[in-house]
Amino acid sequence: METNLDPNLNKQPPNRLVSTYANDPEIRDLVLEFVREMPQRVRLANEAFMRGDLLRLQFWAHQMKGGAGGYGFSEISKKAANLETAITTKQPAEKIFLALLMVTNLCDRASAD
Amino acid sequence: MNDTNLPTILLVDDSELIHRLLRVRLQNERFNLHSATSSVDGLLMANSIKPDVILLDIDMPKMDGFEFITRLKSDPETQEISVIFVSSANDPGIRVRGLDLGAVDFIAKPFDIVELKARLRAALKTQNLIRILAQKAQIDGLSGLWNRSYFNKRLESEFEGSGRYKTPLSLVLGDIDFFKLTNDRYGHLFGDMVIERFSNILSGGRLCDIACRWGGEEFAIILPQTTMFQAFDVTERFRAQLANVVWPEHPGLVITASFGVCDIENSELPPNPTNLFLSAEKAMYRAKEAGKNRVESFLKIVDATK
Repeated sequence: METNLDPNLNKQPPNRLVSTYANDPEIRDLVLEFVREMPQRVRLANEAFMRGDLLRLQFWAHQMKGGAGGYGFSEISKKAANLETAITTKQPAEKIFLALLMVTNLCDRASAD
Repeated sequence: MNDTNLPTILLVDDSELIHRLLRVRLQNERFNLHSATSSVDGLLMANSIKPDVILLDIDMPKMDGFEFITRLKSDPETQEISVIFVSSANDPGIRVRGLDLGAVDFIAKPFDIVELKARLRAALKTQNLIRILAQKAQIDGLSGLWNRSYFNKRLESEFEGSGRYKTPLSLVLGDIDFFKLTNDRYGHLFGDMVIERFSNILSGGRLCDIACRWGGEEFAIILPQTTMFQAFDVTERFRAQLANVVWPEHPGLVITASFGVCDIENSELPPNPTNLFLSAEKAMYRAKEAGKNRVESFLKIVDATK
């Protein structure tokens, strides 16, 4: 019986989350820059959580909540708002982690086109 | 570079992402955009640049948008600035609170840029109308000059500026001679024409001078950065211009005015707007007593009594 030993073989490539402004020439370059900076942003958020620096993570979530939508990523804004709420309402760490995961998953999928 | 003729927008938001976005999104609009990334900096900038409209975030550290607008609206220097909240807060209670505190509009983040531009344009238009109305309320209907209430405020502020920057400030009071007689003999319509003509002469002087109708046939001109001696020359020109007007309705008629001039340096002590006014008024009465159609400075009175 043939088994699939490589777990990545069955893994679907993640759906790209394309900016709703992908075809807007006025801010195309800005969106590209925003997407290009995303891995760094995600790293900062993860690091803040690992260090237990919830104040920094809250600031990060706040920035994403207010900013991402303007770059055509409303879904990221919504999930970032959930993360911010989880922190400000002092939810348990696992809930905050879950909320963080929801945002960063979307961030990882962000694409300018 | 900023175009000083264009309206000014100040964006106060702690998100660099928003600043970056709006700098690009609004780059082709006909206004100057200034940025502050904290509410504290925003208040300082609002005071110094006096923007037409502030786009204000609510959720900011140290001082949130509500405290910002409360401070802004309690300062006479900044209370007329229009504020539009731009926030991701969805709670209607938050929107209502913002509007109750004096905001003119509320835009939800993430915003639609076309809507944001349209709301900005609407706020600028309203702001402009308010400014025109406020200005009209301070203009005398007949003469087209600033009215007495504006004069009082403006004299106060010019006096303060003069003290701060150590610059001279003069005040001229003028009164049309025999105006009641003119009215009685030639009618009030002609009297109005005299007021209008005299007002044209007074407002046709230097651009920096502020000509006001004090009331009836009395006028006041504030001359910033002008010594009494310079003001005397300016006033002498006003006097001569009026005396030389030819009145086609009444050929041969000569209408004149008497003037009193004073500056802060020479006014009665302690120096304040009231004493500057009283000193100029005394000089004007002296001009009346001395035969009318003349300019007297307050210094001359002091010298004469020595």
